[in-house]
Amino acid sequence: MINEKDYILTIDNLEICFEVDGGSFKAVDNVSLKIERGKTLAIVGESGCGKSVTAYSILKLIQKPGKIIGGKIVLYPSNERPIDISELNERSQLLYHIRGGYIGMIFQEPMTALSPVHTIGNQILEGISLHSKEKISAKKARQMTIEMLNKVGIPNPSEKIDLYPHQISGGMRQRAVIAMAMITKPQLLIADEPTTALDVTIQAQIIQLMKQLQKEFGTSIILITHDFGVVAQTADDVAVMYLGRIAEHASVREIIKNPMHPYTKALLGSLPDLAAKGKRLQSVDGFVPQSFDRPRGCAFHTRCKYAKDGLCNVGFGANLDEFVKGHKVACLRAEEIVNYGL
Amino acid sequence: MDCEKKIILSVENLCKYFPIYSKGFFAKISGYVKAVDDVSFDLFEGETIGLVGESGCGKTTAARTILRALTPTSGKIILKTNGISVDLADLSESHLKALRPKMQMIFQDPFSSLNPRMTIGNIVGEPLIIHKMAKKREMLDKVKQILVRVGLSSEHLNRYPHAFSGGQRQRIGIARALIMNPSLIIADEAVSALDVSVQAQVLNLLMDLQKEFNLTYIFVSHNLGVVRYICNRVAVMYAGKIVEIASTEKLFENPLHPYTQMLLSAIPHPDPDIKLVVKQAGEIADITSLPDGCKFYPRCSFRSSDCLCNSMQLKKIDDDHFVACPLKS
Amino acid sequence: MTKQSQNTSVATKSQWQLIRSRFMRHKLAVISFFFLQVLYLVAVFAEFISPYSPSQQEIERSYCPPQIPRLNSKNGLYVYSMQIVIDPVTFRKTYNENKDQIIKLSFFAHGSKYKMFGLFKSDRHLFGINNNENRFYLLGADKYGRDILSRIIYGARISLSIGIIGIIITFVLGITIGGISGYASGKIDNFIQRSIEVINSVPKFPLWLAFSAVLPDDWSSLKIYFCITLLLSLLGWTGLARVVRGKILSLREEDYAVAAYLLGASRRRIIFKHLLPGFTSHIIVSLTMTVPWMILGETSLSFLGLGLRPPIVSWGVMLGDCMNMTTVANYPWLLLPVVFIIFTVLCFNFIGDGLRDASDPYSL
Repeated sequence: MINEKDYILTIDNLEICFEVDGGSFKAVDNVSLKIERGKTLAIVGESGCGKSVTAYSILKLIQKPGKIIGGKIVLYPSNERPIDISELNERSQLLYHIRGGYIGMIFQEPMTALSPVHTIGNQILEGISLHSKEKISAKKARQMTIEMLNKVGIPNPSEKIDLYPHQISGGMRQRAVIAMAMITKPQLLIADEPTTALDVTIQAQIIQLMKQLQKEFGTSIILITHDFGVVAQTADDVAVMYLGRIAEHASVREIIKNPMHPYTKALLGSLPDLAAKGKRLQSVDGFVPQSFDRPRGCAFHTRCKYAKDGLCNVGFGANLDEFVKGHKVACLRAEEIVNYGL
Repeated sequence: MDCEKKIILSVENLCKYFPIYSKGFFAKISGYVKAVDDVSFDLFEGETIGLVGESGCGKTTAARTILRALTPTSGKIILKTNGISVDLADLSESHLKALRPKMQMIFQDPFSSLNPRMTIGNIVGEPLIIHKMAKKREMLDKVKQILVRVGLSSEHLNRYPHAFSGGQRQRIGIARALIMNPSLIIADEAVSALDVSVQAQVLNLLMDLQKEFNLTYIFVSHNLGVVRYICNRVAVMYAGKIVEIASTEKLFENPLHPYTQMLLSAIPHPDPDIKLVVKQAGEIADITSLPDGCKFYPRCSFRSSDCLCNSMQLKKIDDDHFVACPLKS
Repeated sequence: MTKQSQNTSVATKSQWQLIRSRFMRHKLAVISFFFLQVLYLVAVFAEFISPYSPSQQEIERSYCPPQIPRLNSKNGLYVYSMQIVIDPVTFRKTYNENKDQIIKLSFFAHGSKYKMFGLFKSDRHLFGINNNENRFYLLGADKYGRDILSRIIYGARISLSIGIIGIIITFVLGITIGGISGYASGKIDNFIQRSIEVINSVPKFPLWLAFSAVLPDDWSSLKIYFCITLLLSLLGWTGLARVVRGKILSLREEDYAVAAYLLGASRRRIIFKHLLPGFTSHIIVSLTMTVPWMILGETSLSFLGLGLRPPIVSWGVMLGDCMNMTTVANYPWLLLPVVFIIFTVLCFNFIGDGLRDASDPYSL
């Protein structure tokens, strides 16, 4: 059924371990994801759920004390042989080429993603000189940069190219960061909370820009966010994560209209945008446990109103059962919940 | 709608200007940033008013000036408690101190708003000590009560802030604000730094407390979803001015000011079937260089040359709907 | 379960307890702290620990090289005695170890009489020779045949204490002036900051020169000692004042300071209850880093003959003896105080490092 050509990237049973004083804990546990070519996958979850760590592991950007201890990450560039990223050496030339070449990255804080001592033009240009296959003249590269700036909606690109990051506004900076990521025409873009630091009006512009660029270049996007509004407007597929594991993985419409995992239900229930005015929000009780204190069995069972003693505190739906086609849930009671409308 | 209701606070022509100094050794004032410019509104007892706008629009400055964390440049802040009206704007610090228990603030950042060197008991109980409202033993009892009320345990008394998660810290901040039985609470982006599920818990808590203690909230936020959910009325600020103020339903269903329309259209709805259609583009206003007339003029798509003569006065459209746009009156 | 209880214990630990436990993890700092403690103890009990008094001369044994202590089962701890050979032409002394004649060392030996802290009379030394006829020099002797080891131990008293007394004055000046500057802001702040800049831009050595020229020759060594300390701290407080000012300025904007103000707390309460505890650890770090500066200051002043003068013994004064190349080349053990200076300064720096890492409240 699974035709490998449909995917740009597959992650299989990824495990990432963090070693801290007095022990280690798994920040990412048994995570498998597949990203369809030209589509957007959103990884959603609350802080500390492992969504960023998962995304960074794709570029092998996990820093100490974190360590990838298992799993396979394979990139399938179009018209090229697949690359097993998990097998690559830390210092291999190919890995450098993947970072920024095959896979681009957009960060949350545009100010820290840009160097304050170089013009935005030079920072974008760097991607061309580092990753282009044939030699490109300085003049041509500058021309390409101006084109790119124009595409990301920066007015007067031929003037703006020589400005420093502090000379342009926050929204423009994020556009410049996107231009920096897109200049090499990456096949996969990892966007880590790209709009969280921005005002709502600018956020809307950036969302539209990303969709438009995706259409134009056919880029696949991994979007990391905690904002369901952004997810609904940009993603095709959604993976909900809780304490290092995937709770639910389905198309965006399925997740929002027909959530099956109690955690997803609770998250959606706590959105004020969807709630009726005056009614209490259906929040989850308690707090997210610390990652090193993950409860046994299903990590969510301590806060779950469907939890069943002897079942949920022993095992968890490790295999992500598929109920509706393409809708996977890691819940032992999902069938009961769906069928009997619990 | 709320006409018979008691007014608890009325802000009249409030201004807060920050001087801009010219560079050099003998720094001279070369101009002013009008962070809050001629803001007026009334606040009724028991209601929640939302103060929304983009970053740099002056909403936080307005909130802090109302509480007199900053001294206003001009204008009146009239607080009415127990039948007495006091103008906070020109009150001395010692007189202010007597009124502090009536008005409190909940901060955005749950990490920097709690002193890392103090235990929770001392943080929450400090107001009682400052105002000599309780002795040590009594204080601890009261602190325990209020901690339980905001959803923490009385065992947390001797812990330090670093032992708590963001949501728990925000509860501690709420407990500190509540312990003196205030009537007015300003929540400055109180839930913005929290995760969605924790945010819901805190919003529920704030609503419960409002009912229980008859609190009045000024809810400063950039998150329009939250504001729509929790507020009775909403004031939209742009470049230091209120451009539209209305009941929540009217504002969200029938936004009149072009800026409000633009702001609302930009909210990504969590339902994928409701598509995002951005009305206008444009950058956030640079507050140091604004046109004389309507401050929104450079970004407005309905603008006409008259707008530059308009002084941005709020005009009444409806009983509880005011807008500062000449094209809409 | 154990994890849980561990968590609770961390939760109720105060900032100071956390700093302590984090400091203990910094191995180098802990070791340095231990050695410094030993050093200060030695300085305090100098009379007892040093085998001789620092001024006890024996001119025939000038420039005696270090005698290496040896151990065997027959004799216990011993050194070989030194045979003096005088070159008949140049009159230069050379010392040779006489392996036939040993000098036994014993612990708690009777030696020269002293009065501990001016109270207890004794003639016991930690180690020495019971027979007063002979002498031994573990670290060699100087021009007058004085024991370098004893002089280093006595010198530690002056050199180490000058740092401590110096920082007390620095501390008072720095906190007050920096505090005023930070909280008053405006014109006062501007004035203080410009003054600090002026003080910092005054060339240090000419100033010291002028100062030592002013000091009357007939002053007692104690008086001179205090004057030098005062001088060092009068120039050293500026750094601390800036730290304090900067910290107050930044902490004043912290939400918890604003919160305290909105609760009705007075300015004094905000400064002392909220702001000051927020950076005591920074002050301590900054002070720890100032101590070596003071020690080096004393040393360089005394070395140049501008600071303390003989008969006071300090490490700097001792180094004053090796000002010419031939002495250093022929009698390198005269430079041994340098080793102690470097060691002490390093220890203070490591401790400062450890404290700084430990006092950052958000690192774990």
